Amino acid sequence: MASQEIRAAVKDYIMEEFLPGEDPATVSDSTALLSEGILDSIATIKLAAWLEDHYGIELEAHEMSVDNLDSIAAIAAIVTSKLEARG
Amino acid sequence: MPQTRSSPPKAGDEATAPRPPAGDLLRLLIVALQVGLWAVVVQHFHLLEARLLSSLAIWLLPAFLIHAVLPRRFRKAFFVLVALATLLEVAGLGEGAVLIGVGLGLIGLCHLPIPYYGRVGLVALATLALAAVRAELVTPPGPQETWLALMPIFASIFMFRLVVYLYDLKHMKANDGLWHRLAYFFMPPSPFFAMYPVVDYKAFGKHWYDRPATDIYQKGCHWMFRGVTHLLFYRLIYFHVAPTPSEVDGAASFVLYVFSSYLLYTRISGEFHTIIGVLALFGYNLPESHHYFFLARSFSDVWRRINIYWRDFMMKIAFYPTYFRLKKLPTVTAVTIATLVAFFATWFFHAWQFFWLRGTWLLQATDMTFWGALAILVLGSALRQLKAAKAARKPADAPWSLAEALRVTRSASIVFVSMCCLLSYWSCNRPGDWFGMFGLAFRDGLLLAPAFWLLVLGVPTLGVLLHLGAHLRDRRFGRGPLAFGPKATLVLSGGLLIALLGQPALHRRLPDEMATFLRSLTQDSFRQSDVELMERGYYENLLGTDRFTSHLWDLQMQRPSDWVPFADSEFAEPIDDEILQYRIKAGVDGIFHRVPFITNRWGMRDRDYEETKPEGALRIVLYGSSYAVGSGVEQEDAWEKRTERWLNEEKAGGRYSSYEILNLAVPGYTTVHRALFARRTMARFAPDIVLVTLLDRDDSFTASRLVRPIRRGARLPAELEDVRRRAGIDRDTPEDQAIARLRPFVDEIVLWSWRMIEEDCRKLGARPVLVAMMTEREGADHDACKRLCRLAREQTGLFVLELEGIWGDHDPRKLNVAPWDRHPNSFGHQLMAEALIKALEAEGEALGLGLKN
Repeated sequence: MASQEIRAAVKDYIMEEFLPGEDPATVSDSTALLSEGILDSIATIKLAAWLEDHYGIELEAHEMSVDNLDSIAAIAAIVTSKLEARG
Repeated sequence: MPQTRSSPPKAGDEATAPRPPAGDLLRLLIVALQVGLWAVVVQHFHLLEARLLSSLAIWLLPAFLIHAVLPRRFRKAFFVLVALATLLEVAGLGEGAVLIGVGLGLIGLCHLPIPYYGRVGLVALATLALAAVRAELVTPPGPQETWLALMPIFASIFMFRLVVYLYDLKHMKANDGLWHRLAYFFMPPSPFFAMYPVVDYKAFGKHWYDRPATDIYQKGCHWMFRGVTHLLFYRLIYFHVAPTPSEVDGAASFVLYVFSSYLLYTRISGEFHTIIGVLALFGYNLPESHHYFFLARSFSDVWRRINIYWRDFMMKIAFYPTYFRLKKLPTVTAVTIATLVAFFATWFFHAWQFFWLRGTWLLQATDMTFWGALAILVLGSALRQLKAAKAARKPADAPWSLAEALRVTRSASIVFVSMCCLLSYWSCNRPGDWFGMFGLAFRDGLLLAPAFWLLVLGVPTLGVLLHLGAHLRDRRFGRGPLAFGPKATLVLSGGLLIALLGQPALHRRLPDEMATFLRSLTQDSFRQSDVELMERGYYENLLGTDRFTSHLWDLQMQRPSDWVPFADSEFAEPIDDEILQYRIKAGVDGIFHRVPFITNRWGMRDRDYEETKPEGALRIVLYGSSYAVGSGVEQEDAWEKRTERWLNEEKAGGRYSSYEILNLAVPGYTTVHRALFARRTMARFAPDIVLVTLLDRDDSFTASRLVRPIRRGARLPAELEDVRRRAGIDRDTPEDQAIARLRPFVDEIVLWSWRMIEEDCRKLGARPVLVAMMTEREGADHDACKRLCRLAREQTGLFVLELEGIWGDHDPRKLNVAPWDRHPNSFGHQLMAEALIKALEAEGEALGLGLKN
C-alpha cells in the first residue's frame, strides 16, 4: 500500500475522531500531534487500535513514542514498515 | 486561507542551509541580551538558592555564546564539559570526581557485552548498593559524609534517567554516539536542581537542533522568563496569601490555605521551565514541561498538562507496557488496570525520589491517599473519554460564545477547586489535620464566608475572561508559536519591566506599602510561620508540609540524617515530668550537630562547678533553650561562655573575686519549660542572679511546644489547665488547630512562667533577669518580643535587658550554623555576647554585678 494512501487514511481518521469540525487544511503531514496535544494517551490507544484493525498489523508498547506517532508522516512510516516486514 | 498547525520549518543541516551570517549574528546577540537580562533578574530577585545562583548566572552566558559559535560537531562534547565543570563546582572537586566516576560506572554497566537483562540486573544491583549507602546500612570507602552529601545530586541526575535510558537501550537501533549518551546524563543545569524533569532519551536526541538554532535559543529565553514569572508568582502566594495549617483559624484562612496549596506548585513549574529553557540554549528543543495546568478541564487533562515529562515517563514505562500486555481484554479493563499501574508507579517513584533525597522511605497516609484519589479521578475521566464516540473539540475557527465559555469554565473550575483540595490535603502531615481544618471552617460558616464566595465566583469569572482572551489571541496570532522578532520583543520588554520592579532605586520612590510589597518579592527568605515550622522540624522532625512545593523543603533535603532533634539524641535523658520529658544527660562526651558536646556532672553543657558557690564569687544561673546551650557551635564559642570569660578576665576583682554562669539551658525548652526546670534545679545552686532568656520567636515557640503535652494528655499545672480548657483543646484536637487556638493565650502563659521564676528567686534572695535577644534572623518577631518585655516590666518583678539590633547589618543567612539549621554560628554567638556585655556594662550597677571599673 502506498505511503500516500496511508497518510490520507490516517489523516481522515484523526480529523474525524479527534478534530471534528476542524478544517483539514489546518493539519499537515508534519503537524506535531503529540506535542500539540491533538493526541493524548487515550487518543493514542484509540489510534493504535484502529491502525491494528485497519491494517492488520501488531504494534508494541515501545513503538508508542514521539518517534512513531508525533505526525501523520511518522505514523504512515511505521505502518509502511510493518506492512513491508509482513511482506 | 486556513492557518496550518504545522510547526515552523525544520532546520535541516545548518551546514547545507545556512542563514545569512549577519542575520544570525544579530539574532544571537539579541538572545545573548535576553540571557544576560535573565541573569540580572534572577540575581536581583534571588530566585534560586544563593549558593547556586551565582554559579549559574556566571557560566550560562559565556557557555551559551561559545557553544553557539562552535562547529556543530563539537557542541555536544562542549555541552558535556560544561556539565562536568558545573558538577565539580557544585559538588566540590573531590566529591564531584567521585560522582562522575560512579555515574560513568553505571552508564558503563548499561553497555557491557552481555545479554540485556544481565545488564539490567547489574545496574539494579549497583543501584541497590548505592541505596544501602544512602540508607546508611553499609559504610562505603572514604568519608561517609561525602557520600551522603553527593546522594541528592546523584539522584537528581541518575535515578530516573537510568530507567529511561535502559528502556530505550533495549529498542535502540542506531548508535547515538558517546557524547550524546553522556550529554543525556550530564546536563549543565542538573547539579543546580534537586527536582529535575524526567527528560525522555528519545526526545532528547530527536529535538537537538530540529529547528533553526536561533529560534530554539529564543524559545529557551521565553521559557526561562516564563520560569521567572512562575517563581515570582510562587513568592507572591508564599509571602502574601498562603497560611500554614497552624494559621488556619476559621473559614477565610481555610479557603486561602486550600486555594494557595495548588498555586504554590508554580515553584516546580517555574524551575522546570527554567531548566528546559536553559537546555534550549544548547540546542535541545524539548517540549514544554507544563502547559497552563490551572486551566485543565478534566482530571486526565491535569495529568496531561502538569509535569508533562513525568506523564510521558509513566506512559512509557508503566501505562503502555501494561496496556499492550492486556490489550486482548476489553479496552475498558485494560485501560483501568494500566492507569492504576501507572499511578502506583508514580507513588512508588515519588517515594523513591524522597528516599534518595532524605534517606528514608516516604510512607505517609496523606501521600498514599492523595495518589490513590488522583488515580481514581484520572481514571474516571479517561474512561469517560474512552467511551465518548468522538472528541468534543471546538474547531479553531469557531466564533466565541458565552455559552461555550461558561461550559469550559465550569469544567475547569471544578477541576481547579478539586485540585486545590487535593493538594492542600497532600500538604498536611496527617489526614486528620485537613479534616480538622475543614470542620473548623465549616463551623465558622464556610458557606457564608466572603473568601469562599470570592473563590466560587471569582474562579469562573476569571475562567470566562481567560477563554475570551485565548480566543482573541488565536484570532490575532493563530495557534502557532510566535516568530523570533515578536517573541524577542515580548521577552525583552517583560524582562526589563521585571528587572525594573526589582530595583531598590524604584522602591525608594514608591509609597511604603508598595515598596515593602515589591521588596518582599526580591527576598529569598522564609515567612515567619515557616521559620517556626523549621524549628518545630528541628525539634520534632516534622517534614511533611508542602512536600516538593515549598522552598523550605529544599533546605530540609540538605539536612544530613544524623542532624537529629536534641530530644532524639543520645544526650537527652528522660525525666519524670510530663511536660519537660527530658533534660541534658550528665557526664557525656560526644558529638552533636558536628561539634563536641560535653556535659558536667549536673547535666549542663558547661565546665564543672561545685555545688556550693566559691567564696567571693557571684553566681548566675541561666535558663534558656538551644540558643543558650550553643547548639551547633563549640562550647567555648557560645555567648554564655564568652560572657563568663569577659566577666572573669576583665571585670573580676572588684566586689567579686570571680563570676560563674551555670548554664542550665536545655534545647527545646520554652518559657514554660524553663520555669518548671528552674523550680527543679534553682535552689540547689543558690544563685545570686537568675538569667532567663527570651528570643524573638518565643511566643509562637511556646504555643507549638505546649500543644504536645496537651495532646499526650499530660497533667498540667492548674493555671495551664485552665488555659487549655478555655482554648478548647483536648487530646483529639489536630496539632495545627491546637496551636492556632493556643496562640491567643501565649502572653498569659509566658507571664505565668515568669511569675513562677520570680517567686522561686524571691525565696532564694536571687535577682530574676529577663534577657530579650532580638536578632535580625528570618521570621524574627520583634513586636511580639517587645510586647512581652513590656508585660514583664509592668506585671512581674523581672529586671529586663532588651537587646536589639544584635546582628546589625550582617547578612542573617551567613550567621546560621548550617543552611538547614537557623541556630547562630560562632560569629552569631560572638555578636550576641557583645550585645549582652554592652547591656551588662550599662546596667551592671542596677543589677548589682559589682563590675570592676
